[in-house]
Amino acid sequence: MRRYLSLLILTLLAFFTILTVFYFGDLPNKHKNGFKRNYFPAAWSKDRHLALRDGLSGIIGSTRSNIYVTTSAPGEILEIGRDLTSPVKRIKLPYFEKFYDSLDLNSLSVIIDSPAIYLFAENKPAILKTSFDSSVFEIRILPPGPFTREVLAGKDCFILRKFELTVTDQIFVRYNFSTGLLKKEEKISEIAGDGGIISDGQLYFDDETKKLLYVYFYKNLLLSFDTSLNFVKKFSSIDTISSFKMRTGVVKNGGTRAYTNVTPANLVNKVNFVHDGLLFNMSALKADNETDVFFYNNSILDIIDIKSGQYLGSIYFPVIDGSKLLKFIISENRLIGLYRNSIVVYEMSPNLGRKDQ
Amino acid sequence: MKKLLSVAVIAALFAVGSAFTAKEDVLWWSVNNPRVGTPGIFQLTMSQVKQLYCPGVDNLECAYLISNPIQIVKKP
Repeated sequence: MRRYLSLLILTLLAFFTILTVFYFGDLPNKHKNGFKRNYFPAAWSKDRHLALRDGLSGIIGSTRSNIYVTTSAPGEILEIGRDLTSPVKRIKLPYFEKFYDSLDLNSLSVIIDSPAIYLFAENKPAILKTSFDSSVFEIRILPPGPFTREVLAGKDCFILRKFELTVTDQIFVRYNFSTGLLKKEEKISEIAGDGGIISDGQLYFDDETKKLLYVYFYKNLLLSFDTSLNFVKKFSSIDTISSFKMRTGVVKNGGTRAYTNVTPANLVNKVNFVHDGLLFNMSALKADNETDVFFYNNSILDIIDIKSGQYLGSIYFPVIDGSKLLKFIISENRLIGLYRNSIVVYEMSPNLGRKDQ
Repeated sequence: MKKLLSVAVIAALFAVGSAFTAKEDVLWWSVNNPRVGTPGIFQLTMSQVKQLYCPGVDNLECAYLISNPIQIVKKP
């Protein structure tokens, strides 16, 4: 009897501990986040929808007629017509298996800049250029140190976020695929010495402004710089998380000194895209003028002018089969959105994001 | 009996062989996944890193191998 009683007390204690953590814990969107959104009226007019059996994971390229989507099957991509009516073509990426391992340690990213296909063996580190018919095979081995983000910023010009041993962190570098020249940035990245984990984010090249934009995942910081790696501007997304929730600490393992974050981080800038001088950012934070139901049932994109850093307004798209936008691109006034098992093309209002609206 | 013994010996050889091939190195990793648990530096195998700290498909950096050569793991 006594044993059962102790077991009951223990269970109750555990239950109350969980309740206490939930009640007093700093959970995302539990408290007011200190900002409000305003919405563009009639932001999009009609949509086309294509449901697929595949689990979709990313958009890795687009042309005037097609979009290229990665699936959960490694090395396989789908070529989908922009009208979503033509048959979906399955393509096996050439040379993918050669660089891929089942544990994905040699993280392999892909960019399609048709007719070229670039495979980024991030941990090797190496860049391979090939083509759909595998007739092209050019490989470049980069100096030691993995890279985690890559973007094409002109012919043969890549901007990478690459590990720099001297600071135990990642910095931006420019790599020329033709000449093999690598140039390192100075004073653009914030250095935490944790291998680049807390400053992880997404890198974009904007064709309109010819500038690069780095969007932090864990705080509202946006960094803008040019292809010569000159720092241009630092500004913020709409939310108010201006410092990392993560903390970096020093841990000693025997004689090895290593840096790590010692408290968990909350994702702030979840999914985004840069187009025509504008950042479209899906924040993980709810605005104070939104209800829980509205926030969780819509993918809300904040539009920020990347020349001025000004917040212009927000647009929203309903969840599809319980899924928010996983990834999206914007081109020719269309937003092509990727959901778990479907693709949706929205026709956007032509004046969207313009200041005179 | 002899036949049974030789089958057992072969099976044992296979078992030992597969045990050796499946053996993974335990290394020092700096891991980060707030949804899973405490971030920090732990001794883990690559499979443990992938299963415990790098599930999901949001493409975030989830771990890096401290020892040389440094390797960074991202979620798919």
